[in-house]
Amino acid sequence: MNLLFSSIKGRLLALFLSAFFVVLTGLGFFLYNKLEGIVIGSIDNHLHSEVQLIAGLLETEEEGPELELSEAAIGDYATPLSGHYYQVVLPDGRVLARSPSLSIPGKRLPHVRGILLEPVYTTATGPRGEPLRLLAQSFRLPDGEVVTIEAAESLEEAYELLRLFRNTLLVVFPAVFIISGLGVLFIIVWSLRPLERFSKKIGTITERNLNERIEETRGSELSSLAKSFNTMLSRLEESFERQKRFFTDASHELRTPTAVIKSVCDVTLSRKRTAEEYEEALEKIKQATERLSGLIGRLLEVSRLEGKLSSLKLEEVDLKDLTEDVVRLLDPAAASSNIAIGLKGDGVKVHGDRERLTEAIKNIVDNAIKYNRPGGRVDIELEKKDGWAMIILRDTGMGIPQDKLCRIFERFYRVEESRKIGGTGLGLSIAKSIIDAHRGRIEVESEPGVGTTFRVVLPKR
Amino acid sequence: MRVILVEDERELAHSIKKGLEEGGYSVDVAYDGEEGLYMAENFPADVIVLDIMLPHTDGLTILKTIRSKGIKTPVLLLTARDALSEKIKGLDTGADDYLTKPFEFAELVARIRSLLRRTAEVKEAIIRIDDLEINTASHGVRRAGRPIRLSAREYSILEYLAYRKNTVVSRTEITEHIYDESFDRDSNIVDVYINYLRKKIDRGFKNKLLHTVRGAGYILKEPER
Repeated sequence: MNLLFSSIKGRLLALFLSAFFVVLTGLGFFLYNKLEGIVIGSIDNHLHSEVQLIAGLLETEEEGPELELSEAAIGDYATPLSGHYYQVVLPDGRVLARSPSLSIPGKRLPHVRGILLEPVYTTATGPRGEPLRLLAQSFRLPDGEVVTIEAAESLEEAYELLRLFRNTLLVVFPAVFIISGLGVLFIIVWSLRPLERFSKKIGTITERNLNERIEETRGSELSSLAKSFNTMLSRLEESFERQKRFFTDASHELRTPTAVIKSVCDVTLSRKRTAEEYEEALEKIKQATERLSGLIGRLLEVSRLEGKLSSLKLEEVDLKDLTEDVVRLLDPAAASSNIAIGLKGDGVKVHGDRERLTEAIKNIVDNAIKYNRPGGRVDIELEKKDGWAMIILRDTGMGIPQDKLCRIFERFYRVEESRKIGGTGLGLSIAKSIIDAHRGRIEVESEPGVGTTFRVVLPKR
Repeated sequence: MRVILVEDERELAHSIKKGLEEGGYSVDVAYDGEEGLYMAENFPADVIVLDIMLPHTDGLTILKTIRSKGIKTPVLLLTARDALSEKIKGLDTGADDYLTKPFEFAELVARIRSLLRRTAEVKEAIIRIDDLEINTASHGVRRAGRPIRLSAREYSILEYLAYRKNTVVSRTEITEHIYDESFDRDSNIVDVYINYLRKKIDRGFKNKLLHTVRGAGYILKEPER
């Protein structure tokens, strides 16, 4: 039962069946009552006209009222116990006249006593024990005498008709109920079929065939579901692609210095060398190893960021303190390239992870120093604007060509000209991940040969 | 044998160049795609070693361009990616072999030799001309079973002539394929080395193998019987 109701199919069917049951039962009762009213009403009409007719046949004689029997005793009234009866009763209970159908001794209509100025319809038991519809009405005769005329008709036929009707309803309605239940079940199954196709299709999708899409039938309510699902697949595919690209890029980056080390070793070891040659080879190996370990560190950083951006250690951070830290960290590197770092602006507080924000800004300043010209400048400026805190970093470096600007935040991306200088191509992408996690953004504009301006925008506390 | 090496990783390029030169090859290095394409189109070479990931013009584009211009020099691709699709694409574009970084230097040299043999239609690592044996793997040379000691340059010239045995090789071809750019092409240094070689190989043997073809060049051939 639980299983039945937990499925959409089961729920829809149960809902429909119970609603339909209520409607059918109600309809059955309504129809039955309506028919009963019609049948009884037509008997009542007939009784009424009979009573009027009998009243017209009453004559006032010397000794009291009298009925022209011959006229009234026609048709059904003539047959004994035919189910059609009348009698005329005086107020004292005496029966003035009765229909021939009542001529058997002991068989009487129920007595109505008193004067009934309005017609009174009742249901009673007849002489045969049959159900009767009975109309009683009093009339004042011209001589002032009051008589009550009773006319009755058996309800047997009417009840038989109603019984037949009820039986018909009891057969037809359950049949209708079952047939429409099956029909509805079929419709439900049929209209839920696309859903099953979905689920089958979804079941076959793994990381290997993420490029497949669900058919979007136009106009169907399910098409929006299909559309959303396809959108989700696209996003998944994209992120898988990104991941895959990251791995191939990372392996490429790791292989290159490894190839240098291997090749230098192979060539150097192929014959006896002078001490200078060995020294030169070791120097090259050292450089490649440094590059390799830097790269590994950065890769670890990236994977740590991936896992932990959601769990930033949030605290109140003063960007002034933070940039001063960065400048202190990078001053030696700047000094060795003869690059001056300037810092101005007032403290701005943001809500963020101190360590990660420092890392982000450090990466940007590091870049600004690395790709600067000797004797160049890096100017850092802090600004407040509306609800935002801004760190503006201007350098006098080589600049970035306009068409490459959008790609500099991609992992491992390096502008051609920057390749000679080295670096992992990860710094800016790490910075962007960190700033994104703080719901901030990095804007960049650049003029090749003149310099680049990075604008780090963070929501103010 | 002249090798063009197109590799943007300077340290790797230097190391390969050094290793190959010590093995008797002449090496021209290009550090980016444009330079590499220029060299491949204009410099004579016996083998081109081509990195796929290059600045400006990538390796596959260079390969496609030179093949479309009818340059049939064997090409060995270097790739830092393990992607099979990239290798297949490289081979389909007209590469003759590929090697994934990092690689054993010895393997690189062995593959270069194998490419040289392929174009020279020499099937084995040891080239035989009459009773002269040239082992291109060990650089050992024997005549009638007796080892002959040769200098690196002498060996290079002999090997070049041996790969093209029974055909006349001009003096210009030898200078182009044996020496690097810094070499002075007008000098008669080739003649000098040929003389050394002739002394070491042919002196004392009845069948002379190394001949001068007047006005055309030199030929290393089997004696006519």
